[in-house]
Amino acid sequence: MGKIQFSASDLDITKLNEDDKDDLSSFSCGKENCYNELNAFFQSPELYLSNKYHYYSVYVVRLKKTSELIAVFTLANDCIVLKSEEDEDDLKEELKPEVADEYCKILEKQTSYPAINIGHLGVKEEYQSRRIGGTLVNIIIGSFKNFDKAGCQFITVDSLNNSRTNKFYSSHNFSNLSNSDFSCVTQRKYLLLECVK
Amino acid sequence: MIRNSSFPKMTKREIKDFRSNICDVITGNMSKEDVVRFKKQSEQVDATYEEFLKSNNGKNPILGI
Repeated sequence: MGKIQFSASDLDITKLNEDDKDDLSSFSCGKENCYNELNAFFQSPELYLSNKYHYYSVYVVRLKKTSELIAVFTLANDCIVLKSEEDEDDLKEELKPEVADEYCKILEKQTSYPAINIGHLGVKEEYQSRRIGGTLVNIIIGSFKNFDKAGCQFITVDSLNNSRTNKFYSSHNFSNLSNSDFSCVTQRKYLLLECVK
Repeated sequence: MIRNSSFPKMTKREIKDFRSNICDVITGNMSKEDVVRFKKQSEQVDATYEEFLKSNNGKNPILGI
């Protein structure tokens, strides 16, 4: 028998509150070393403080049927900044023939791009490989692709740099921003929302 | 994860590729494979999102609207 797969209608997403503390104290994404930091974060006061002081908004995900806490994720406003020392004239010349006329003048000026950052995304170990992570990523993408109250052109993620996580985000068409963090603990990835509009 | 270093430094080539990628998407200058890939993803996102909204009585608990 295969594992039961879950979909969006099975999940209840709410902002973190003090009542979640007990459930989070035993929350684990797995025993492998690569999850140590993530597990520690979910169980630390830092999680509540980050939420309280609006560094991140923390969301807990429960199964509707049983109320079991099965995943946690955080979101924050973000920005992709191109720290370019290359001259802007070069850039303008480069982009002019490529961009739709109606957006050309705006894009020429952009050296930063508004985004929403998935800061953390963890699924409880026993619920992994049941489409929960993918469903959550789709819900986040769907939320911000349809959000027009503030500018948002990208979803970014600083994902754990291991083959499983990299494969997961690649399957959602996230690209690496740079190769310079190739061997870091986390890798910065992005998805242009325009791609999925 | 909370990022453990400052933003990764991008090379000139990477910056060009990044911008060129945006241009390609905006102008529709994508390979057939990319068009299919993103169309499929877009459909999956929409279906999941619709299901999510429906199960929350049309509201989005993330955005609070």
